[in-house]
Amino acid sequence: MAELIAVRCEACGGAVAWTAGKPAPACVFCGATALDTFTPPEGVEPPGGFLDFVVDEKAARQLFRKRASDSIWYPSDLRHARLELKAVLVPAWTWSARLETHYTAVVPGRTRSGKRPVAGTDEWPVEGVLVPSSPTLSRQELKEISPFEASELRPLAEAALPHELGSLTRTAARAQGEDGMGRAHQARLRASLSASQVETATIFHDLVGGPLLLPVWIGAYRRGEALHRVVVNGQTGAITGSFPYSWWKILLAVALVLGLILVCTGGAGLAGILSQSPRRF
Amino acid sequence: MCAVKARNCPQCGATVEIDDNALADRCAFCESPLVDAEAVEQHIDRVAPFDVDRNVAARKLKQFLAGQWLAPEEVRHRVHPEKLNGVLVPFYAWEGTARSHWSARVGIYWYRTETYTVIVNGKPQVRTRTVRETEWFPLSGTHAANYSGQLVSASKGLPEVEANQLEPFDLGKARAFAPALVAGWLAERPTVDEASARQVATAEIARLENAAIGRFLAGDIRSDVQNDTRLAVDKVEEILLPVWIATYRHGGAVFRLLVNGQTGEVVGKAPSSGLKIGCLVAFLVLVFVGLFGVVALVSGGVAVVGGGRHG
Repeated sequence: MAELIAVRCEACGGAVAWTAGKPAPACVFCGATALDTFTPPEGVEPPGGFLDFVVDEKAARQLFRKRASDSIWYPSDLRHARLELKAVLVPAWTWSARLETHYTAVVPGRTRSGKRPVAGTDEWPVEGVLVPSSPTLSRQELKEISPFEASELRPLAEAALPHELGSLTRTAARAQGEDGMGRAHQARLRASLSASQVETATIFHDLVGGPLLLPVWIGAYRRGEALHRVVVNGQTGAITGSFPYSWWKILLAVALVLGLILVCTGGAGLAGILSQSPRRF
Repeated sequence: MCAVKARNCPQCGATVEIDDNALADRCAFCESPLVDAEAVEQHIDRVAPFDVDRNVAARKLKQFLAGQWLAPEEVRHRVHPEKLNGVLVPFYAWEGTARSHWSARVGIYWYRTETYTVIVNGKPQVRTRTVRETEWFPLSGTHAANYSGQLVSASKGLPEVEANQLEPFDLGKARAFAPALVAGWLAERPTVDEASARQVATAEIARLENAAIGRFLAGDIRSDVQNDTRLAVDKVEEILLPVWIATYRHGGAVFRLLVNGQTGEVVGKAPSSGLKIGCLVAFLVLVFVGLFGVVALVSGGVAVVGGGRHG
């Protein structure tokens, strides 16, 4: 396994690691080059490899512009926002297991309430459930840009980029991985049973997990005072993030609707007056 | 009285006596760390180092005591980093699997509309209202769960109640024993026997399984829940976990506060100041008497006004 060197950025405090023998990197968070070597946290395993970038910077920018044009409620100039993009290898854990899930559920039934309870057991092999191992990427963001193709894992020594240090121990990552797998099975059961309520208890067989690095483009842009963030899957191009709405467009739409209502009611009132007018004379 | 054993300090050569239950301590003459490596290896599988240093632990304690406004002022200001003891406390870690067969009655709500008659201004009016009913179903099934990393205190000095409050610990940060991991800290050998700890772990896992079955049953309401549970409980390891301990004397009594050496969570109860409680009670009595007086004055005033009118 390649020897890792851990450094902490003197400017922003971010922790970065890279393979020994490669030139010292700049901080992946702020670009500073003043870095202090330190001992990585105890119990945090080095990643078993990395997934390479398929989406380059130009493609990531195009994906942002396309996403920024997706809704008519976004500001018209959003697609031209000055986007600062950084390629980051984000630490995460991937988990696979065979799930034995016991469940109770409330499903539709020909009863007075229109529902009936059921209980059962289901088995499901699940692979590649990801758990982020750093604050750089939230669990929700990772879920929204998943999946990643873990079979294309490459040795860490071949990584061209420095990477952020993971923060989860195997024990902590396992708890989150089991939680993620259990929730996935619960969602699957809910859909297959057409259930309005599902409660599950899961035993994990053949549980396998390991740390790896995911290719992610992390972007930031400003709209007025607010800083917005976008995250792009460096393998598939799936994008998520914060896209502001144009309040002018929303206000204009509301004014238009109110205007239309006013015109319609006014028209109806006028028609009523006109239809009653001959009787008065 | 604690049994003691004699050890030679490798630094200054002094012969010092340390507690027989201590796996690591400091030399009374030169403060050098003393580690009974043989005993640690014999008793302990892994050691989790301190993540929270002495100053941070003292800050957490100060924050905790700042919220205990009934605590004596002298206690609130007596938190000094040097008065904290970093202790590696022994725990047994257990892993259990529970498999249960259960049966219950599950209730699902449904709603019907009924009409009723009320008399308004002497005339009957028919109105409708929604009434909730419960439809009951018998249901039975299975439940299974793993309970890993169940910690039971192996120290008689740290009762299970306090140990539970200190959790969680991230056992993933623990490493195989090396003398350097315990050097400089107080470390205790297990003083609770494994059979007693197993009983505690089994009871705890059974309690967790019963609670889990209660949450597991779908529907709006449940009754007659019965379960038959098989437990398989295995000891995984004996592990030293980091705890900061602050001990104080107040009014002749000793009390202590604990800080989780991984998360900084504070556990314990500060003593209450008799003076502050007395002041609080006096204040409440004054407020009550004041309110009573105002009410009496107001109701008396009304009576006087009424009496005036009649006079």
